Amino acid sequence: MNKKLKIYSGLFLLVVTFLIVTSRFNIDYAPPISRCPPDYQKLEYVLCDQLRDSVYILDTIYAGGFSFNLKQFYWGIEVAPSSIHYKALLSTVADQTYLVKVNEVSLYVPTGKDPLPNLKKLFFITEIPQVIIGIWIVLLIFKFIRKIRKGDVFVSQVSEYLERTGFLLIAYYVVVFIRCIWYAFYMANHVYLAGLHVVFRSHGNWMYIVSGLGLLIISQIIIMGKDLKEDVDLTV
Amino acid sequence: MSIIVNLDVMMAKRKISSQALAEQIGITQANLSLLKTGKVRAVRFSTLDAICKALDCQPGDILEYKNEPVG
Repeated sequence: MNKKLKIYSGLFLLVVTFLIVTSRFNIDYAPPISRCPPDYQKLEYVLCDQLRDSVYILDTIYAGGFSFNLKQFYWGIEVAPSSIHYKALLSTVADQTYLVKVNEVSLYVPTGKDPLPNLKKLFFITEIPQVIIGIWIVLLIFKFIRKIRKGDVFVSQVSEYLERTGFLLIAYYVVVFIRCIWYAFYMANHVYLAGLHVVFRSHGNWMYIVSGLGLLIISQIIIMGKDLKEDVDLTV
Repeated sequence: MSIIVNLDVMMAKRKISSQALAEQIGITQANLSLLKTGKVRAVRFSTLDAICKALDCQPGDILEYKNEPVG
């Protein structure tokens, strides 16, 4: 077994075990959305908040939908209550009242009104690496498929493409993770919510790491296959 | 590699051409050339058997082991 294959399979085992353990003990890394009202993501802005019998009343206005343009773009702030006993009551969401746990709520700030300085700049700086990595991955997959269609499976180039794609998938997760940290720090420094604080949650999907490591393992298996094929070809 | 192929020596002794030998043992001339230059990874027993039959020799006449220090 080659050294790289040992390292990659070890890491793969570690990550999968970690994911199984965390899901077994129900440790959440992202807020569960299914229990929230479907429109909670469209809240535009928190107008005021006040404490009534251990319940936060977050008065909000309904934004009427999510759309991607610079004037109508919303920045999510994930918040948690300063005291764990509090619950949040979201009011006036599409003229309906919902009871939602505060730690499942994201508050969305409209950037069009530019309440926060340099937010757009932060967005583009952190978005560009993701876009570059995404395009790079698509190009590598395209090259990989072209090679496979030619019938060249056990060649070093295929292994190279798979290895690079694996590393890029892991890099994609890392970039998203760094972005979330940066963003949470930025928001914590610029947003003040009485009784609430901004929390850090990574939006990176663990499947990027799992599939990245899976591709790294397959790339090493391709290398072993290439060596075997060479042995067969050079046997007279 | 420490294994040396002396096939060309045996072929010269038996005065047989590459083409004739390749035809007799049933491999291509290109593969025979690779075998003569020692660029192959392995030799099948069936190929070795055919070579020995064609050249009327022992495997030891074709293959030789030389202990070479590594590096």
